[in-house]
Amino acid sequence: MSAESTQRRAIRLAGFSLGSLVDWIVPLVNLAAGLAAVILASLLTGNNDLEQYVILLLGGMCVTLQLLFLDIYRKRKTWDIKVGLLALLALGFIAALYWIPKYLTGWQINGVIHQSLFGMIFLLAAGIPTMSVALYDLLGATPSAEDVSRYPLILTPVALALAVYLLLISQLVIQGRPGLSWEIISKPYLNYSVPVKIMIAGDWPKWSAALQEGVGIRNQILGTGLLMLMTSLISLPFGVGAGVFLSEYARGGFGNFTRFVITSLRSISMLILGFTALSLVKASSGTPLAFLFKGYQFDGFVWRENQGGTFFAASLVISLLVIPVICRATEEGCRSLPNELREGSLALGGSEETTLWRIVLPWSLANIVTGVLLGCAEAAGDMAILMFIAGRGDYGVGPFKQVTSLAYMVFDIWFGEKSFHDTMSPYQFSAGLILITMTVGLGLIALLLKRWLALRHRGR
Amino acid sequence: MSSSIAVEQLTAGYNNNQVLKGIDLEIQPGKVTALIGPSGCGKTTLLRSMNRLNEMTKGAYVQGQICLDGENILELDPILLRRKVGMVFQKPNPFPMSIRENVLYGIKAAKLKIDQTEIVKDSLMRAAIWEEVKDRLNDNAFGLSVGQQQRVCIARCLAISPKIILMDEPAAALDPSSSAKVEASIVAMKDQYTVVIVTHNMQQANRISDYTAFMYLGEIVEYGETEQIFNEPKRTETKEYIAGRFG
Amino acid sequence: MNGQTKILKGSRLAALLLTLVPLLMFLAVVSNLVYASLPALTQAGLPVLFSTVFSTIFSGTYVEGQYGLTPSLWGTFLLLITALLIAFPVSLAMAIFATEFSVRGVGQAIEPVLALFSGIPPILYGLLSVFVLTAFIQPKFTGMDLPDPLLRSMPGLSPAIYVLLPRNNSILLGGIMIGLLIIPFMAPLMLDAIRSVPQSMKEASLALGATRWHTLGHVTLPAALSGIAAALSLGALKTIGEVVIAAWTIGYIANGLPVPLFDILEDKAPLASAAAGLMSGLIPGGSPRHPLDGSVAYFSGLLLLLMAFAIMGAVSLAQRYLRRRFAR
Repeated sequence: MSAESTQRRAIRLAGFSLGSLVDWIVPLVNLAAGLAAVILASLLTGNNDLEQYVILLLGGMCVTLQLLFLDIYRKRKTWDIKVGLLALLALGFIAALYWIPKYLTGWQINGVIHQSLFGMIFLLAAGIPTMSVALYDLLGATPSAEDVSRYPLILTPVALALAVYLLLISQLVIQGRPGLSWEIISKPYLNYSVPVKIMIAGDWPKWSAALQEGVGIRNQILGTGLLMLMTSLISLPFGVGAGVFLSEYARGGFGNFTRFVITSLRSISMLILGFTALSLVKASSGTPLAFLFKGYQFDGFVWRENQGGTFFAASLVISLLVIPVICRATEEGCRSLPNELREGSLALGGSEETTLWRIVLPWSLANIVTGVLLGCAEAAGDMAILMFIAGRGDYGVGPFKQVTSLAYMVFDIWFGEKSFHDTMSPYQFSAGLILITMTVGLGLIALLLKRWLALRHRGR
Repeated sequence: MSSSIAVEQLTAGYNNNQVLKGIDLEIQPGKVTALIGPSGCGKTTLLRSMNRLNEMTKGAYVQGQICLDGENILELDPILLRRKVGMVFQKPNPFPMSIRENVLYGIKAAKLKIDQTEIVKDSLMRAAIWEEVKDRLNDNAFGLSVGQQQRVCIARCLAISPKIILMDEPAAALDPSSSAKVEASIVAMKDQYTVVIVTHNMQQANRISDYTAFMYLGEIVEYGETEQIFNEPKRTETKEYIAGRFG
Repeated sequence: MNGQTKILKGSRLAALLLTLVPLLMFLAVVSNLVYASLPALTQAGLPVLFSTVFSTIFSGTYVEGQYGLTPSLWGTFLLLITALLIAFPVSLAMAIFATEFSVRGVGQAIEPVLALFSGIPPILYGLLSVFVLTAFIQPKFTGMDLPDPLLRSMPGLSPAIYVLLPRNNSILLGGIMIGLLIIPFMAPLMLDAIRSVPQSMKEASLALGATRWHTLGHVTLPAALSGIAAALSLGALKTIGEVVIAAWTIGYIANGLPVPLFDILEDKAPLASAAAGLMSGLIPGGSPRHPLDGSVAYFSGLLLLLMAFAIMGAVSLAQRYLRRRFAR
């Protein structure tokens, strides 16, 4: 009779044969040991004290693996070399841990490595294969079991990465939530435009009171919004135009060149774009264009040229990033149009133009909106481009006032001058929290739109 | 030496769509059995349930029993099952590797210790393509013509020495000369292998098969020796289909 | 049909004009970059620019005109390796989990999650690096719990350490944060690449009795290599271009090559943040300290652009090779 049938005993679970209870125990213990190793390794990340358990656990694994080695022989009359080697590996790791000093240094490395780092690595390197061999044996050592035994290898990195993301985001929420209040959101940090007005009106007591305008991030929030708006307005026509061009009209060399350039726009370093913004602003200084790119402020006495750059200048440069996004979205939308609809319109006597405006663009509308939303998220989160030209929104928020945004504020609070840092640092995370809510929120809406699009297209 | 398949009360489908409605069928060992019937009658579903490839589609369900030499395959490890039940697909699907690598794929996947050169030559000969490729075993299989690719796929399937070979319209995409070579190799497979072949081509079924099952709307309407089915069909539906009244 | 008509009219003309604008903008960016780099090239010259000495006012030994960019180039390289070493396996595991090895469809839930994570702006990775620093880097790599005398007595310790402990900046930290940044961008690309492998090929493999893992390794992944290369390229491009996170976690200065060469615990700034430092005189919102500083910064930008093109070109070549090997 075939090997499988002799092996079969009582229990089948989802197609796997598990043998009798006795057969379960040893692999199950191994599975638990491997799992414990991975968990300990994760806990060790932040906590050096737990390292005393590392050797304990490695020793335990070594023992359980040897038991598994013998058990497999009992069950299947073969010596599983992998399990044996794994037991030796665990032993080797224990030896290594005795040999490595508690604090490792030398070779002029710029740090002192704690032994627990090696403990972590050894635990993972031993624990994951232990889980694999345990699963393989537990599920009957069939080829399908082999597939299941690969899950620990795949799931561990995924689970660990997700845990890291969740931890970081939760820290953002925990640290940022207390700082949030209507006060903060509704007041700007310093808003000179109010005192200026008051000064012009000649009301001196009110002027000094107004200058003390409290701590707040209102202008940054408004600035982020304005940045999104202006960037969308600027990139929309060009993005859609390019997208339509690439999908409907482009041929051969020029089309490829265009596509290359559009892709390159996405690939160039943010630094370069930051420099471009800076150049734009600097170059316009002193020329009539300065109004557009640098902006002027009336500080009560004289019209002064701004220090940095305007929202307009920033949006112009950010749109270099956003245009490719909208272009790709539009292209996808146009291409997804079923040919029958297109041909139908032309057959009815519609010109290319009518087809474009009446059929192609409305069909692609949802794609375009998705692109715009993603572009907004980019604009909101951008810091590198603003890096050299942004400010604190001291004079308020407007297309030709100095650009500011939540993203810049987070950077500014950390790296800015001490007084600013001290007053605003409690609100650093709050600003970040609002920012992430905006960008992720936009992303969510874009995601839902994409889902809806996919359904609509599949439904046809 | 070769195996039999016994299908008992098999119902199968995808999500809400029931395709097979209680199939009972006994495939004779060492013979070629053809499954014929109009499109959508479930012949491909039946074929694919014999090596449990239907499970790859989401929402697929199966009830009943399919016994390979007495063992219900639905309770076996599907991977081990597929080493006993090979399949050749309608559209040739060689791997983007050399011809040799293609043929050896199943052997390497099952970690068998066999003389590799022997098995490559043997399989390619059985698939009636050895002469054409013996000098270029290391060439990429994609460089072959469609007919040659299909025969390499057959060789690949034979290399793991399956007991049953399932064929889903293997010659449908081929030109007449390749088609003839494929048919010749199928006929040569009798006795040593049990072959179940789905085909739209009734003349082909008549030529190469020993038994034929006519399916319609998820049921086996008639099953018997090919001679009898084609010359003296018992049911009207069979008669009509063979006469080409519906496709 | 008149699909091939060369007459430019109406909406076609409009589309063409609209497309030209971003093209011209791109050309403007590049030419501005080249133009502004010229002073650096002419006055400082290539040998200086590629030396390994880079001194600024803050390094205590300021010598005018030392603009060696090699340390920051090396810093970029180290950062790239670190970030990709972290991000690549995780992205691949996520992609495999979502397609071939998903547990009853749970794997597909990863996709929207990744889309959400990709919305986290880089600045916040900078902000959150503080947690990674205090929770992981400092306990494990800086010997924080050691009292000082003990530290000083350790053999082989670089003298500079004592001055800098507890340390805040390192390429390792930057690599971790950038790795986290690029995972949600790399994984979906790899996912798509795996999905686009024809079902027929996977079926052929399974029909021969191969396990899913074997199919993955021998059929699916090799066929998806082109897409995986694209994902790698995206990750690499984002890493070298990332200014904000580098500035926050690593700093602005790269003076001298790290010792030993692959020491990612040092804080040699990559090109992006070194250039940013030059441009702002190491003060946010400031201006270059020395007239040539700005030009060198632009030159660094040019180098980054060339690197980006090199990466794109290399991947494109690789994809062409793969297509020839695997094409029908």
